[in-house]
Amino acid sequence: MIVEEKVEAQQSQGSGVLTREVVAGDDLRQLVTCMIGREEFALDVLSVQEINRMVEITRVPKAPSYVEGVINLRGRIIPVLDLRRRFGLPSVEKSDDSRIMVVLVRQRMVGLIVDEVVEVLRIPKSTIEPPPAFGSSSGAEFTQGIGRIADRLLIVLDLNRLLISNEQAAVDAATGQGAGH
Amino acid sequence: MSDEADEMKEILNDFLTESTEMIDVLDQRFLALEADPNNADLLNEIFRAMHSMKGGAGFLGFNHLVDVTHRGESILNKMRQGEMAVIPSIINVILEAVDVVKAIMHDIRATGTDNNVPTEEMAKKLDDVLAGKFEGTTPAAKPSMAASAPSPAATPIPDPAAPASPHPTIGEILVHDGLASKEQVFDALTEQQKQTEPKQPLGELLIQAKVISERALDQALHKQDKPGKSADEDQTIRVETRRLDSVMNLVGELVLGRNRLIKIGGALDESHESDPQVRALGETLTQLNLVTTDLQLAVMKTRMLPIKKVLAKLPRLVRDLSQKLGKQVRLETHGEETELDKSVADEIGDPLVHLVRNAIDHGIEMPTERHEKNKPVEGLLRIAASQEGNSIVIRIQDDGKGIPIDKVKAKALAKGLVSEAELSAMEPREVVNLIFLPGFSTAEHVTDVSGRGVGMDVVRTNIRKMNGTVEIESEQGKGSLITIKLPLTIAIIQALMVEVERATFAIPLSSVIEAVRITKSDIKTINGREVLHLRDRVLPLLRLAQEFDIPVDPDRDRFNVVVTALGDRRIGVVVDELRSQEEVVIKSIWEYLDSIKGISGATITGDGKVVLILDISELVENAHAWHHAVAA
Repeated sequence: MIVEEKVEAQQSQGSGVLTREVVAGDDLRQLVTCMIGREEFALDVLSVQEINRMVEITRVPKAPSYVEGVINLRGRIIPVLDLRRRFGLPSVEKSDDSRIMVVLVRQRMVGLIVDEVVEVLRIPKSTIEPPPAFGSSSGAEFTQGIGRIADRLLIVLDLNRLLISNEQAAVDAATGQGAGH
Repeated sequence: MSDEADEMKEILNDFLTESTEMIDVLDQRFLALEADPNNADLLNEIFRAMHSMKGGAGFLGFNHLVDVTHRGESILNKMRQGEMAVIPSIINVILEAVDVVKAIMHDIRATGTDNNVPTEEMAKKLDDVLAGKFEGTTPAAKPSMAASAPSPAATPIPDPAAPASPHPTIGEILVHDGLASKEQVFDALTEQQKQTEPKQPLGELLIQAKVISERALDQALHKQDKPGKSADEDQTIRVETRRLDSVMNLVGELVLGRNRLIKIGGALDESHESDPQVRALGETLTQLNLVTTDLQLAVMKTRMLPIKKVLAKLPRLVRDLSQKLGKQVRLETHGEETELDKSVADEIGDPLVHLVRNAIDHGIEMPTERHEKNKPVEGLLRIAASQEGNSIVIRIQDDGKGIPIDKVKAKALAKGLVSEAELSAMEPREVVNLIFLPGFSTAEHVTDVSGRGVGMDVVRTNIRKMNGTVEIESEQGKGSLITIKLPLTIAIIQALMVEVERATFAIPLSSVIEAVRITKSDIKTINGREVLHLRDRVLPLLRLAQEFDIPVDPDRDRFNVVVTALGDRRIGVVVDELRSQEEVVIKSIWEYLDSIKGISGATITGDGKVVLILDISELVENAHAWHHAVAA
């Protein structure tokens, strides 16, 4: 698949991705875009480690509801979040297009389930605007900015906010589905 | 980061590692010295450790550290030359200085500078000792010691050409190793002759003359100590733990791969029994299996440390604490050579310190009280480590007053941790172990009960994190015995794979007693709680599906019960099927998921699936808590 090759080509092996400076053209931002529901989201290419087809996911009891489970990534066990549920969208059957995007957030690998990966693109930084004050779309609280190319709207995700603090996760766990006996 | 900066960082790391090791040794050596003040070898060893720390600190520009170590070194030098007596009051001051050095090391590790620990006061104290202003600092009348000490750096035998004597001089070694020329050594010796007493050691003069580096001197001094043994030093190398960890991880992967291959091989064997290729594959797999197991053991061994490293900090703790409390305590350690995995060694230190502190603080009585009870005035604290099968067992025994059972009972009742009925059914041994329950003791109530409760639940939690257990036995008036059992390694365990509605879980085999097949009708209810009558014992049951909110098939009639034990408590875990027994590599799961009750980690099975490992201790705890809630 072309997208995967492109992403691989941008990445060197191993860690340290977060510390590397944005590649060439200071005014450009390189993004990987994906569909969740009817909206197109974008992630910084440097935080995306790899893109995989769906694999068997082991459910984790009592975990926050948007944690789909854990997977085996070549011997490492990483959690997988369902972005649909994270954004409060209804769950759908996983299709052939569904992908797990493995991203590096705060030195940790996390898998994100998306409906479809679209492409890798470069857009001028100037075309990315700050998010609107009112959350008009799904995942508004995780939005870093809105990118515009032609008639497309890209919602640039803030991965750090996507993976909230542990305390918050604990609260979620307690108030969510895993609420004790 | 530039190469130069990398190099500096490496040097700094080496310095910190070496110094930390030296400090650990120092504590022990000082205590030994206190007992044996005439031991010149000990004194020399301590001096050298302090000296090389000073050297490193100077090189790296840690001036505060130099302030302290330099003065410490000077005092030690005086002691070693017999100009100052080796007496407890001075040792106390030096130990204090060692503590300051520890704090500085900590600071350097945390901030990269040594500016955050005040050293002026310490330096002044040390100066006072040096100036003889300190109480009891009468110049020692111990000429014998000064004479017998090898006093290496000051040996004035200027014949570098003949390094034949069993104890070569420092000059000889330097010349022999090509670190200094004969002439340079001779010049330095001449300089030394001109000096008035106290003369500067030869090594220092050479350093001042910039002939040799401090490091070179240290090496030479070391050689002088162990002539002819330099070849031995090359037998060991220092490896970063991180690298060993990654080797261990890779071996873990290999173990998983092997498990998987064996599964595939087994399946092939069934379907293509007659194929010679399959037979050859089977043989190769057997071979691979053996090699992998050996490799796994070999790698595990590289990570093993003698428990001595952990026990090393205890003598100082015992000394300081008993002095502070006015008690007399003798510490006995056994089985110091027992080896345990580094990860276990790193974790067990704190619980041990805690238990030792408790034993001295609350277990062992004041000397007068012991005298009245016809006990030896000096209390005994005995720590013994040994390997028993696949476990490391550490026993901490004191001959103090023990734990008053009645008070434990009263307190457990008052705190609502147990019911009256349960308490009456408990053996005394079970009652004593109640002190490990969370919420049993809080600091302000320490002395009400025997006081042994402080943070005991924390101790147990830490030990359980390593898949270990801790138990206490106590005889009133005679003392207590705490037994800690730890796995040899915490990375690889044997596990029983169980299935609940097609979800697989691993139960550590160490906590499994047996497994029994039952039908739905075997499950009885007492007070709304499901139990099983198993050979005259009532076994509380816990349905895994219920615990983990897994939707179940209500028509299922056959179940398997895995009887698990944690100390004296037993509980039956109800599952659908038993799958297999497997060797699993424990992988950490994301901290996000770490806090989930009842799950301690995850592993990857032979077929590449992720399987969660159950935390039996937490499940047992939950089940009991729930039981109490229902009973109340």
